[in-house]
Amino acid sequence: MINRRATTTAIAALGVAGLASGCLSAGNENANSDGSAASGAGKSTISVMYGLGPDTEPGFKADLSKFAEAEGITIEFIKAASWDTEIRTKVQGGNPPDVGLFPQPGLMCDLAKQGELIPYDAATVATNKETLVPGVIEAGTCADGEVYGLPSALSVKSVLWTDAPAFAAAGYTAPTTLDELLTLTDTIKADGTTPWCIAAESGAATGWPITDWIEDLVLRFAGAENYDKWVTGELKNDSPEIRPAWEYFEKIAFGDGYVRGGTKSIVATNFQTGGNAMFEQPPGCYLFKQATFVANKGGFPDTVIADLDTKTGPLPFPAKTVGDNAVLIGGDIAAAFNNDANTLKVRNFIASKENGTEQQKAGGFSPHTTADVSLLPNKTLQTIASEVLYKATAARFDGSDLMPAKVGAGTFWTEPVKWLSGQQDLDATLKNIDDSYPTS
Amino acid sequence: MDIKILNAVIAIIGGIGGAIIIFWILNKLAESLKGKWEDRVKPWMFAGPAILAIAVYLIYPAVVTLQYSFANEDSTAYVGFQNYIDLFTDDGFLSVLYNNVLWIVVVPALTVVLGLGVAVLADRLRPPGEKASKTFIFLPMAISMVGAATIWRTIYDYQPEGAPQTGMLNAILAFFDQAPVFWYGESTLHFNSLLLMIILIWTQVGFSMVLLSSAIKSVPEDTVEAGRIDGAGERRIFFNIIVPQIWPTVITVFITVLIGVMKVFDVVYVTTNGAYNTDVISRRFYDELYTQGNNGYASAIVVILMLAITPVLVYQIRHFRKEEAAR
Repeated sequence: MINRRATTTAIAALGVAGLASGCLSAGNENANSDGSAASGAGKSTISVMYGLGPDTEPGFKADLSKFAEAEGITIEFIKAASWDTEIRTKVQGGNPPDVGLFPQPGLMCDLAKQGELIPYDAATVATNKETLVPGVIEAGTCADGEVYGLPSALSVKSVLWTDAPAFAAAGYTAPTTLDELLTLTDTIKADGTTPWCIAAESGAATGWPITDWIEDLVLRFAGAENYDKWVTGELKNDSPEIRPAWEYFEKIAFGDGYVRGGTKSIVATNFQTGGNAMFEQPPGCYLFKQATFVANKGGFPDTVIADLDTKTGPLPFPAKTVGDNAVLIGGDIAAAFNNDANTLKVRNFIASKENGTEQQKAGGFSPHTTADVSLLPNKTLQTIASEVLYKATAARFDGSDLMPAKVGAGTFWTEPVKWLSGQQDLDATLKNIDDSYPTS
Repeated sequence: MDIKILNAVIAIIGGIGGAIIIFWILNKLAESLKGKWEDRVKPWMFAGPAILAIAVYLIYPAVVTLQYSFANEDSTAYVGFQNYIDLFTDDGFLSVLYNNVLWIVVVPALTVVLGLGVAVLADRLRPPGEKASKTFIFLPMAISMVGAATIWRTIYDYQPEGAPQTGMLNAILAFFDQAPVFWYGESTLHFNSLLLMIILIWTQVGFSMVLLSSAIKSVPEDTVEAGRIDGAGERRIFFNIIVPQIWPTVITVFITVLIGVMKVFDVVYVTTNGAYNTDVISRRFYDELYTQGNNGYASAIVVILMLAITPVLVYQIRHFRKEEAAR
């Protein structure tokens, strides 16, 4: 009796083992076919992996499908729910996609350093450089000086949202400098209302909206060149160039009565809906800083989105001194995992100015200044494109995306959360972020 | 897609069929041996492949993890004990360990006590009432941890003061004109960790209740009766007659929950992602491997976890053997 049971168990175990090994060998076959095609023969199916949200995905797919159809290439779209984790797993498992749309240049450069990515050729870079918003090429350039990624679409982060009718009714005017912004904050508070909604809760990624704040401020206080040095870790957060940005944010975030719900509620309020109190009667706050994506479903209330042009008044995040139009951008940048002819063709199309028609109709800004602004779905976005993005004297990519993942997706998110929730002071926060930079 | 399905079918047929053929051949080989040797070799012919599978899928990865725990973050050079030294001198990691200890102390014990309480009380109800109450308490077992955390959001949720409170606790506070509390951020005395533990306990009590309830029902009636005749009160009967007889089940439940708690990850990951001093060892491991990309720290953490769990496993196996022997 016991013997028979043991036998059954053994057979079952072997069956499981057989199954598992079957799956493994199937995976290897895929990897092999990738390898053999890398000679440049031109595969018929190109897999494109991305972590786009429901607002940008359809436009991206429509544009690329149209191109692929004309070229006779089949595109296999792979949507990653959690990009960082899934792309790492795929690469480690020897089964990367052909083209990947990185929301984070930091991780892209990590992979480029490991030799997983193919850089753009000089001619393509030169062509794109003519039309791209200044600063975009640099964002996709890794430590070895090669350009590994160029964006498909951009979002603009340097936007200050207001409820236009309420803002005007209260008699407030758009601030043109950071000093005026502080004055306005004080004025709103003096009127007995709360000036700011600040929201940084994002589930497991809580804290990243704070990085946008700091980046925009660093870009303004320290200038574009120092911004680049800050991103690479050459300038510490606790340096005389960078620290003023943090201190400015501290003034607003910790200012008594400046933030709706108080400082501690910043980390508990969702980044998508955290500004919706602006549209309440009476307004819960008057100012909300967030990238353009917030004017989509899931962000502002549906009634506001339906009538964006009259209900909202987006202002450029003010400059340090007038005329110094620095803009902070975000976006998904395309990189190739092999040098198959069609892989590169698809990647180069995604980065080119020919791409983006459907994307623009869905509200995604083209990174090329030649883009037809009138394609954008409403006047609000058209204004942001022509007045903020394409007028920028210096555009810089989201710094946390450019930093080593350890910082940009790690301490730069988590340390400010500790700071805002009262676990540590600014000094400790800056020290912890600075210390987390890889030493090599 | 079709090809993938076909592949899967072939893998299943090939895998199981292949396994049967291999065993048949091995068996024949063993039978071809003479006399004593057939009996000596045969068990290994059958156990061998399973042992090999365990070696490849369990022991080999464990050894490699141990090896990586002494290497740098890219696993390209050895760093000796540096990973362990770094971890044990990092205040953050020590507080992670402390949190895990709290989970270990609180969750298994509470799960057993609550499960036992429910089992005893439900046992006194009439059958329909017993069934209904047990079903309700068992229900959360069927919910994934992420789902459970989402459900508990309706209780712990926070909105800034002045906005309608969507979380139950804060709604109660608002009713008494108190300011809302950001529960997940209340790290005084690790109160927020306790709130997360409640979520896990909520899902585990059903499991504990079912096992303990069946154990209580199998306590022979005559032992209880004998106690009554000797004049023992209800409390005495429970602690001196019922509990000793269900003790093996209590231990089994306790250890199963204990091992689950040592590996706890999902509750913390989806609620706070380790912020506000609620981090636990598995989430920290995930963070080191996937966010920080540090194979060395990640492996070292896993080795520490492995070392911590091993005594529990050894105890469990001994306990299991003792029970088997008693049967």
